[in-house]
Amino acid sequence: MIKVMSKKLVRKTIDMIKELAAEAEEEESSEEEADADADGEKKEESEEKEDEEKSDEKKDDEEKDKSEEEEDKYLTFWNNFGKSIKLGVIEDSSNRLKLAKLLRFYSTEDPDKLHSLDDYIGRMKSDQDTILYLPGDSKSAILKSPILKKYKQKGYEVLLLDDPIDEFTTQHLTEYEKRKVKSIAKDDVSVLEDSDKNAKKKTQKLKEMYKPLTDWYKKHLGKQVEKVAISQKLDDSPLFIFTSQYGFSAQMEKINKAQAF
Amino acid sequence: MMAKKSLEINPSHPVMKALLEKIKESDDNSPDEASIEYADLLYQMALLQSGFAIE
Repeated sequence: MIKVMSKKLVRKTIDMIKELAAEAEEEESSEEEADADADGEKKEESEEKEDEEKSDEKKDDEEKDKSEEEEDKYLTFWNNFGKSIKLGVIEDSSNRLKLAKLLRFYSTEDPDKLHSLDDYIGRMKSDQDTILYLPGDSKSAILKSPILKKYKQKGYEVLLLDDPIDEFTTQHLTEYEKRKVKSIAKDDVSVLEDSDKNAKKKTQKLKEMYKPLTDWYKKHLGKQVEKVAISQKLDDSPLFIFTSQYGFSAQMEKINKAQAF
Repeated sequence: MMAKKSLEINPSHPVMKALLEKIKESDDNSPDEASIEYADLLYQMALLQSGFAIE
């Protein structure tokens, strides 16, 4: 009985949000978003349903009330329920792509505005095959990161992930619209590397030239670092610490440490 | 669990060039006290800038 009721309530909520989103369309967002909106909501609620059926109804009602009061813009929705959508991308693999369309992030293109992944792809350079992001504590801290500079110079757009959950989301996403999603703080991103032979030769030479330094540094730091290498991703800072593709990132290490007790 | 860190050096940075020279000059492939300290400082700075916490 309760199940039937909550199902109906969910459906009603979805319809309402659809309507709201449809109104918002006139302002700026597209029809796709409206539909996807509802999907996201549906997903969230069905998850809640699984967890605790009784409180479910209450929550539904609350959500309904909230959305009634809300300004009909997607932005407001995102500010309130963005986290749930991000969680959805992590947990619900069947709706992942639909939910991914709903994701909004800040980006280097315009750090004050939220951008969708589709926006990002539309602005991507023709030779770019990865969606780049950089996680960090806050937007201003990320913007100050030394690795961002060169990407900016070369005209690559980078998403700024200032929410701790963001990185887990992007890690589960791994791919969007056939484009890999990667953090520029990991060492496997090769967007900036030159592929022509001359440049390769040059790097090889530099590598050799700097071998005494890299060897010494590795020996000096011992187990603190995995390896010491020559970088092409830096502009005016002397060194930077990247993390390996599969290991923890700096941000995750921090979260992990905060959780351990 | 710790992150696997990989330190990358900017070969066009003057500080790195100088550090390389120091190592080359030395006989046993390790620079003088001051340079070691400086290298440590640089490493710690990089840790912070990369979002790690200093232990």
